[in-house]
Amino acid sequence: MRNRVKELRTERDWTQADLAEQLSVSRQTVNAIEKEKFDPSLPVAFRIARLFDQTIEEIFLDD
Amino acid sequence: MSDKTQTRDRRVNRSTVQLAIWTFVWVATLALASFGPRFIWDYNPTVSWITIVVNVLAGLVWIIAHFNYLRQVDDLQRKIMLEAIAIALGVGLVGGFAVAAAKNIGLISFDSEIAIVSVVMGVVYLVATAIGTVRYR
Repeated sequence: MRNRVKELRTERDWTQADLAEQLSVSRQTVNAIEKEKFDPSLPVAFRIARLFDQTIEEIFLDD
Repeated sequence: MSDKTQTRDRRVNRSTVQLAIWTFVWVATLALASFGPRFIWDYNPTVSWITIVVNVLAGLVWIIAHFNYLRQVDDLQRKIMLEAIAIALGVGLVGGFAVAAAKNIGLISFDSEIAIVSVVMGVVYLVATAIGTVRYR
């Protein structure tokens, strides 16, 4: 699944470690989500959406 | 580092330590149940049964500790571990039954002990975890 996590993170000048800390996940998880190797669980997707003040559909795009 | 992250890290560390402790306890009680009859209590059946029961109980707590550990780690780590467990279980079942079938019809002559299957599953689990970690890096 495609996503805009990297784009939204870099807009805010956050590192992957910054984002990982705010989401309570590992940096490796953020990296895998950004590289679209791994789709997060629904709770993590909701945390991402809340953090960037967008809906899940605006961040995660169905192929 | 935020309080939430520290709390999560503490929870993961605690469950990791508990898993390590119960893994050690299970292995130690298994060794006692396996070698104790020969070297310590001269095959006394009562003592042997007690050590077997203690080993099974330690194994149950180890399973719970593993379950708790999987609940504490984050999404990606859990996915990597579950995939590794699935591969290890598959290899254990497929390989174990194939060797048993070959033994039953006389294709192989060596003793196929269940301990070997456990060791193979453990090695496969470690390798699959390492590959998963590299794959999602």
